[in-house]
Amino acid sequence: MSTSVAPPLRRPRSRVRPPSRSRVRLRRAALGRAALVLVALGYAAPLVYFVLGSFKRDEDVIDGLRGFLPVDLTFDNYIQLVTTTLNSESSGYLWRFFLTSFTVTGIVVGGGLVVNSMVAYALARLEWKGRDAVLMGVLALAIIPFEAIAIPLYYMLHDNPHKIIIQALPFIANSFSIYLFYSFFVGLPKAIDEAARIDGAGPWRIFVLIIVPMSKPVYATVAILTFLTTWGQYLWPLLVVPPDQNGAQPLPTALGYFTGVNPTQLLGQRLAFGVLMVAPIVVVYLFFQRWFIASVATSGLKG
Amino acid sequence: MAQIVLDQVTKMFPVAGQVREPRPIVDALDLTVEDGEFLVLVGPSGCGKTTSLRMVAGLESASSGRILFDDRDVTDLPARDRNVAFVFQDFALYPHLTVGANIGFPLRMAGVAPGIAEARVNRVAAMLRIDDQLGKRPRQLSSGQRQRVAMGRAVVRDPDVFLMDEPLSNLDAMLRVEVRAEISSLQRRLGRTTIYVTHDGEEAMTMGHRVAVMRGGVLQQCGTPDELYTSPSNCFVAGFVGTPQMNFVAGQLWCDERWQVVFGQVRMTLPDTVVARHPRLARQEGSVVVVGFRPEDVLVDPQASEIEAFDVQVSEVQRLGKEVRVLFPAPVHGFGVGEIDDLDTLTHKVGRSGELMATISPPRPVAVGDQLRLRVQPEAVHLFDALGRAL
Repeated sequence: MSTSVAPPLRRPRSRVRPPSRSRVRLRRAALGRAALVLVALGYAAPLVYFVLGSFKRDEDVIDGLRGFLPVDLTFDNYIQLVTTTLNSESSGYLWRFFLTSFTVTGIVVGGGLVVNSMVAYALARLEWKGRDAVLMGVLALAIIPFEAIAIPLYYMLHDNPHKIIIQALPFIANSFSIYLFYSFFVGLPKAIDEAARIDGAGPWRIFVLIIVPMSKPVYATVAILTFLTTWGQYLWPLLVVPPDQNGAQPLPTALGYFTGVNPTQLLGQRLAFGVLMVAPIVVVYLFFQRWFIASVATSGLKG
Repeated sequence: MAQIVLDQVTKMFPVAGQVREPRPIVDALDLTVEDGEFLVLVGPSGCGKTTSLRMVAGLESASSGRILFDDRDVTDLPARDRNVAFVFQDFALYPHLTVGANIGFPLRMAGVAPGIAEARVNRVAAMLRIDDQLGKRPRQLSSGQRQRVAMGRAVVRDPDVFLMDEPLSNLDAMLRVEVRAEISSLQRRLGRTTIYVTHDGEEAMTMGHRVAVMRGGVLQQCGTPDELYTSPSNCFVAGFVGTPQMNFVAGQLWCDERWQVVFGQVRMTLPDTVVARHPRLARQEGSVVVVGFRPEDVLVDPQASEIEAFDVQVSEVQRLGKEVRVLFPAPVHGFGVGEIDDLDTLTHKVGRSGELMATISPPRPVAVGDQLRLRVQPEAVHLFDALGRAL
């Protein structure tokens, strides 16, 4: 019989056993599950509210518990956002803020990959006097929060007219990125560098032709982490980009300025703005995650 | 083409932030490798052989001393300006490049035109029989093929000097013997000066024109395999060269009309050939010496008189088909017992505490516990002083 071939995964329920015991156990398990579901719902609720609300008219958004239900959905908020200039003190089209955010993030990610990996290479693979002290210093910097240096940075940079550059500049060199690169580079076999040295390559060509191609996974990791932190930057652009400069507003500050100061206004549009702002993160994350896993799996070094 | 001269080359081991005196990992190494010669540097791990090789390559700087290539001082020259090729123990292939690109990398660095470089890569690959693998990545290859790629990368640039750091240690035993022969024949064909590092005494003996034995950063002896085998300069070399290892026992030298060596109850008269081989013999009369004899020079001889033989009980039997190796407790102080000054530190294997070995060939039935009467062939005896130096 075919049923006897497949081994039963669960113990078959026995009718002989006294029912009371198993019933108690079942009830306990159900209670546990219910508690877990409740907690999960608690965490998911704001997200559900956020995404659903972006498809609702303002009065439906705050309509009590109905706000959590997928009813009365409309694309009006999105259409409004994309087609009109946003209201309030200044005006500007949504795509401009996207452009600014992408430009700033692009500079930080691109510049960061180049600069930080080069620093890490010097720290991990080259020998020079004072290297260990510099390494310690760089790592120590990781514990200083940005807020601590925001004010001095503001004094140094606020009157610079290149608002896009200013937004990116302080975040390109990043001690945490250096640390990530450093720990990857240190783990690469030393004999590879030596082989390249024998073959006639100098430190620069060893880096570009050997180390970088071998380190794709860590470049992907640093790129995605840098993207995530830079995309959501709020404090720094708030400090250095004046409200009237639409062209230089990134999405987070734009959301604040251009939906107005009154929190009851434009509820649906705010949420839609938020959804659009988060969308690239989700896309980038999904894209990189697949690539990331593949690259880690295929970089089976050794020999 | 180059002659390599190492002149008092020393490498101090860097002991960062420690009170300990820095100790030399290579101590005043003097060595000359002739043009076109295949020299094998051999010794136990930590003896400084790899460090010496890396100093020749320029991967490691010398703390003092000079390295000359054909009278040209290269001591402070960076690796890439020395025109040497280095084959690494774990091959160190570039994992992201194809086999062809790996072999061609030195040419690319030297700025050789792509067309010419490709032709040379193809020629080298054909010579090493990996021409059908050129498009693959290193990880798709077997370890034997990877080894060939590493060789190809070394050969392609036509270097003056080949340096190889245990290139066979990552291969399995069968392959090792095969590749060993290939490397030897390749070196013969190309005629390039080659320094080859290994910890395997047998590999050293079969491959090298000359073999340099190192220990604790100090060169012990450098000579042809035959020289090392027949007249080792000390106990260490004697123990390192030849498998199975030489037996050592404590003895005493006497001279009444003829030279005799006494160990245990055995009183052996030394033939003239042995006396001639040991010029320092006369100064050691009456003193304790180390007597060395190889397992293959021990004979089973039931007819031998008591004065020239010793009776032993077999403690272990190793059958190898063509011969039988028997181990037995030393009838006198065997090496490693520590009765002789510094002997146990001079001989590199301390593990065999007092057990000796005899090789019985052709094989005959022997079992553990058997009583054997053994005789050492006097012509094959090696004599060392209490410090382990050859007399």
